[in-house]
Amino acid sequence: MVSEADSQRMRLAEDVPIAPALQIEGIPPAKPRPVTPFIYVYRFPWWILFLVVVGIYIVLSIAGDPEYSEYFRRLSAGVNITLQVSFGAYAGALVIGLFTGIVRSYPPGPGQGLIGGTINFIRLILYHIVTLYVELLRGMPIATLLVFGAFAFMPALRQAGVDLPFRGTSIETAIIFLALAYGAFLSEVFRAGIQSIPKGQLEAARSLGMKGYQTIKYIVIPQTFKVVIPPLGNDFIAMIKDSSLVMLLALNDVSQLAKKISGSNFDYIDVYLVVAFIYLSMTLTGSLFVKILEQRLKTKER
Amino acid sequence: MSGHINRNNRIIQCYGVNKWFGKFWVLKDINLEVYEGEVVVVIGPSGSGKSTLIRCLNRLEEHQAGEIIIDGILLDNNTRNVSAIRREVGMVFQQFNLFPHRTVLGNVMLAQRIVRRRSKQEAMQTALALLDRVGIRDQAYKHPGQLSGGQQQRVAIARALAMNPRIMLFDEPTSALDPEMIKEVLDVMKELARSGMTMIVVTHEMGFAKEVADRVIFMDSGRIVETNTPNELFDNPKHPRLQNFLAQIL
Repeated sequence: MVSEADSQRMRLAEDVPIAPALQIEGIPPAKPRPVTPFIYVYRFPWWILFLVVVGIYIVLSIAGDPEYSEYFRRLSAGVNITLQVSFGAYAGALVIGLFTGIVRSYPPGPGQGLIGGTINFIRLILYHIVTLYVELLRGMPIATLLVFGAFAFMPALRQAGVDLPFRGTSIETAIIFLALAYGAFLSEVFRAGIQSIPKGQLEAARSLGMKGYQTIKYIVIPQTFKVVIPPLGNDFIAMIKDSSLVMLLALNDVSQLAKKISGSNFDYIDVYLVVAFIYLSMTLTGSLFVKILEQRLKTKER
Repeated sequence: MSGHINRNNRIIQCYGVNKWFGKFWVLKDINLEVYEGEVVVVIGPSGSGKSTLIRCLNRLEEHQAGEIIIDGILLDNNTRNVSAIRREVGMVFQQFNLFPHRTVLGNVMLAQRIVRRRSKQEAMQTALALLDRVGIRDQAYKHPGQLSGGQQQRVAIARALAMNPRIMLFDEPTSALDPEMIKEVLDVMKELARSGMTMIVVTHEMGFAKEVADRVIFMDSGRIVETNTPNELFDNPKHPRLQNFLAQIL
């Protein structure tokens, strides 16, 4: 459809010739500066190239050295536990963090009427429980939390008659308490993301008749994730490293195996070189994945 | 001007409406009746309570005393009433407030799907027809960030219209626009007024008020100071505050 105003504007555009560019003799007409191929030197991810080259060199050295390859073989038996704990606990922390982040982003005011008043009072209690959780677990060393969970909390639960399908010092306990610890951090990450969304969008949603949970689901959360991907990636990498704390529960992850091996032959430097290589290959893969995710979300918008 | 005014139906009724922000008295004894199909333009200096008044009409702000009745529904603490009123009242904001993570089409379809519970096909048809009406159907698959301000505001109008509101509120819809784009938005609003929509428009566009309004309201420091037909109000202002205001801007 072309409106009357549009067609009038078009007619005007046809009638009025554009003034020719003023040409002064001796001065060449303006041209855009050609893009120098040098620009690619600046855009190229040199650090990745460096890592790949060094990585290949290390892989070859490990493969060529019987001692290193023996360490690698024995240590990589722990990768499975490291990854299970990291992914499991991080997934849990995402769920906890998102939920508590939403609760903490919208502190309730006094409600209206009997139903509204009751709902908001329950929300008020929830808000303070969640705040207490975040503040307490954020300030507690994760090692302390894990030891407490495995040797005090879980046995106490069992004594109280709860039938747990796993032991206190198990991978499940480790995942639960790491998730609780990281959930407190992610809660604040999500809260920051949620609060970065302009208030006008919430008003627009309300004026269209959307309910609170619909606004959160369709407007707030999709935009929050875009904002919080970089800090979430940060915490994911930190989680891979902190998963080494499960050795406190005598779980045979990479770090625990390293302690055992080096403790038996005192070859600390070589064992821990291989440990560094294994952790770095996991964390760098993780950060590369986060980068790709960030890039894809960015291009989708524009 | 719209010629569709139904004098038998007072679709908006405000009686003795008062509101405070903390200790600041924003709305003072507002009495206002708007007929179905009427176009009311609200003018006045900044901070006079114009925006707050129309934001009270769909409960973006809560009034603290008095009665507001929209289309026969009393606006009170009952959330069911509030929802019912919001379905009948569309709103257009100064800052557009489009959802940047959704396409133009997605913006116009979303509330239809989840509030009106329309099927995907029906929502899409309505959306495309409305985008056609505001003249940006060819931009349907772009994101709001790729559009000009005027185009974004027209999407916002289409988004509000998609809910089939009986009343449209405009909160300074052209104040954030480049001069060149103001006209394209006003044209859409004029067309809407001619179609018989009940409209309350807060604006500084006096030309629009003169041409389109059935009635102009002048507000100052929280009160409705004068209300009249545009011709009378602009050519023959009675209150000295209005005379002063018009002398400043015309």
